[in-house]
Amino acid sequence: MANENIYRRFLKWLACSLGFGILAVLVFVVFVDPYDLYRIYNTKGVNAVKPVLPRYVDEIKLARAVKLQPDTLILGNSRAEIGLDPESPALKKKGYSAYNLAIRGSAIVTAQRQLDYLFSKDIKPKRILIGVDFVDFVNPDGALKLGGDSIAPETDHFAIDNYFWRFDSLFSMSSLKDSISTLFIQNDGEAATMTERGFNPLNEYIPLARNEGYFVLFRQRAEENAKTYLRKRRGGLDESGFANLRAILRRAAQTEGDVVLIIYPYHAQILALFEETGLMPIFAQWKKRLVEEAEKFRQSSQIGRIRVLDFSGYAEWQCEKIPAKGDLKSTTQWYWEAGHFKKSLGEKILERALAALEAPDVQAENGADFGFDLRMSNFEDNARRLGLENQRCLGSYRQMFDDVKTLVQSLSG
Amino acid sequence: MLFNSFGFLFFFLPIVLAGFFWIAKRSELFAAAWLAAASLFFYAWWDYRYLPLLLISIVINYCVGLQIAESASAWKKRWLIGGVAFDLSLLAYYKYAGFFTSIVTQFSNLALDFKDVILPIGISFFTFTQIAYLVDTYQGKVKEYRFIHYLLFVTYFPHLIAGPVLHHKEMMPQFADINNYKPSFENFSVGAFVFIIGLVKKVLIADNLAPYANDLFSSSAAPSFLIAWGGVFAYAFQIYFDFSGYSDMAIGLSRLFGVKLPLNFNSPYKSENIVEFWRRWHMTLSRFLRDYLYIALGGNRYGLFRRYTNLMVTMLLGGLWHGAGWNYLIWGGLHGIYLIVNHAWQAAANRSDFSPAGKGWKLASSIITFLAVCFAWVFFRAVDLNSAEQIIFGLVGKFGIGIPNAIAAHLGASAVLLENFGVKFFLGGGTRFVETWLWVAGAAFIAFFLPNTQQMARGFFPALDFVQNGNSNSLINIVWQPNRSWALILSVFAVFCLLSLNKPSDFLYFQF
Repeated sequence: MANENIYRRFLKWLACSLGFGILAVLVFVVFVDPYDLYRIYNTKGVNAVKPVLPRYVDEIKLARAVKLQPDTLILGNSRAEIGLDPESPALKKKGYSAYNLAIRGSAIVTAQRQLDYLFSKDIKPKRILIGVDFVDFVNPDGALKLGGDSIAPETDHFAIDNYFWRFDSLFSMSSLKDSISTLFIQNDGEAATMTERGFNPLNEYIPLARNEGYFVLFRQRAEENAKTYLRKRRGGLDESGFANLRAILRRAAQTEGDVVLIIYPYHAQILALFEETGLMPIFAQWKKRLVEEAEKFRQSSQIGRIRVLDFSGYAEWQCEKIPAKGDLKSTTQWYWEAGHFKKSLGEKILERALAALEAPDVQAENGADFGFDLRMSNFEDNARRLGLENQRCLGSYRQMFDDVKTLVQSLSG
Repeated sequence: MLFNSFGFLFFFLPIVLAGFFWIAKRSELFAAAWLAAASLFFYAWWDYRYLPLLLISIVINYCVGLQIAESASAWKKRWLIGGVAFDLSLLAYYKYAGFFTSIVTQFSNLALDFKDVILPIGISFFTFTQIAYLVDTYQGKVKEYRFIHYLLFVTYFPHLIAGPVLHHKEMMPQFADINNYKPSFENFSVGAFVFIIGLVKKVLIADNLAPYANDLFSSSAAPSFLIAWGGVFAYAFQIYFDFSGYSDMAIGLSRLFGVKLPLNFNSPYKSENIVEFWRRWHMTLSRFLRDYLYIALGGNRYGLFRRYTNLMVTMLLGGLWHGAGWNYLIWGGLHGIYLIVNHAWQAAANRSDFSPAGKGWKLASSIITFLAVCFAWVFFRAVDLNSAEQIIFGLVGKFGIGIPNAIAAHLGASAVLLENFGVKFFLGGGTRFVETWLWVAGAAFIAFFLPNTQQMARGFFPALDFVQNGNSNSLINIVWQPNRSWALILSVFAVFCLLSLNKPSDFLYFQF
């Protein structure tokens, strides 16, 4: 009987400490609130800085957007998530309440679903700035598919409505780890973080660049991109992306909202890769389709103002020199690597986008050298601009073009 | 239903456990029936369409067993052959028909069209268990024939889908023991300890190693030396902690019901030779293959050549038991070769009175054994022979030695030295590389230097077949006691496990 008592006590202690442990984790995660979901306690130096979202990015960003009820949305993939700060001076000056819903690795269908969800919650932004990525519209397997809107996916169910993520983001090893890391990153300027409004400043690239140099960051991404582009060059434009885009524009038309389609300012290295891998003609074709879609809406629907701003090119920003191999001191002003621009360039994009929205609708403001207001009527002008910029960049930075050629040849062989 | 799932831990198990002891107050037989019914529910949760197959297999084997027991001696053998043939035909159809059809198609002009059938979960385990039952009945070792107990013996949920492979004679007395129908704080305590440690092995170690192993085995790239070894080691420890953890969980769960399952793992990576490895790895399967295949083939009774042939046949079939495919066959064949080499070496050493006993020799033996096992795992895990070949080339250095540039950046002048020795630096993958080797190092420390669950609970006879004075080879001696400190330690482990249950988790032995 004495033995039974020992075991009984052991089991009691086990059950109690297990219950206490579970409760402690729940309280800790809610208190630290790494995903900014509960907002019971939010204090500078303790938990005000939040870590970058490792999972449930879509759900958590949407949940935050619902709480903040922004009037301006930034949509797109990682380029927009990292480059476009919703708290930029350009937006603040106008008094806009913006939220960055862009998600790394996402295609335009995600943006459509996000918008559908927000509309279902009666959140109807007045402005939508959406980064559109050419590469997402290229289907490596298929030729150009021409079709109507029927291929737009059904959006009657949203991942955010699935309650598992709420449980998982409260009680899981990842949520515990993120809570602990939240406490440690408060004064760390080089930690991976996400702002309250969904912006990812990519601080973690600072030590990477310091230790390995920007050359390595650019080179690694260039190798990955080259492989992707070589795979995609056999394909064609995928119509489903345009169907998603039309769905977004229809949503905007419901509230006469303004839309800016942002063709990302890829670094010249990426455009050189497009050229070398044979993607450039499809790139031009894609831009034309974007403009066609925008013009259709401009003429036929109640959409507010709609602009297609082409930030691609070889101007001084995009042609920024990549620090040499082994150079650990030089930094770049505009780009983390060829695909992802820094907040500094993002600020220029936002300024330009807001200015374009305010420009008279009948006359495109083509004087700007960054963010060409693309129309069907000025398509050739844009092509000439690109040609001239290309020549200038080639003249001042031939090395980069040669390196791209060598890289593509090595991967093609 | 997985042991490591919220549904199992917070709904199925408490209900079954409470129901079992509540019913047992009224009738032990009904309690056994309740446990059997719960086990069938547990099985059907995965795919109810295979429940009839399981039940048909049980009913036919039970009836054949009765016939063997009651028939005149001339008919005993016929019933046995018929029963075993039935079991093997089930296995052949569900597990091997697709494979053999593909072989015939590959090596002939026949275009056979065999639609792949889904492998019923646990079919190898419940079939082997019942073959052993028929043989034991034939040999007169079976003493009890109550159907409910037989049903429970085969379906008993702690072992049903992944073993251990049970013997009728070691389970039936326990199902008949009325003491096991009374709740016992000792059983709950020992069971909870063994189960939580098993859960830790599975959820906190194996599942965390899985991505690093998958990185290698799902990649089409030619792996350099350190990448290949990192991935192979990750898999070696993943499968060890996965299966050993699940076996511990089975033993712990069973102990809650007062039933002791046989030990299935005994720190196999500490083995000093491959013979010892097979005595410590998946012990109940090794026992089955030894008793019902190797010895049935003649064992070592007909000379050296037959002995080695029997060994090879046993290991080849053991390989095929794990899966229908060339890779499993090669894995079994490799282990057959290892065993033959081991026996030949031992025989030669005995003849020459060479008896190495030094620590250095033992260490070298353990390392060689472990590396040989890891080498064979490549075939076990690789998706096809081509990718296995790529990884083997990586292991032997055909694709050179590479380390991530991010690490090289921290090496200073040493990086230049390494480069001069032919080490290449590659971009990206630095974090992955470091994490892989850190996880491998941690897992290796636990596997090689810590005692196993049974050794930690050695004072409480946690499993059948446990050799209390067995050689532990542990660097650190850890002894579990039902006290406050251990309750706190286990609860911390348990909380971490619960926090990790949300992650996707594969159990490697489910489809065997």
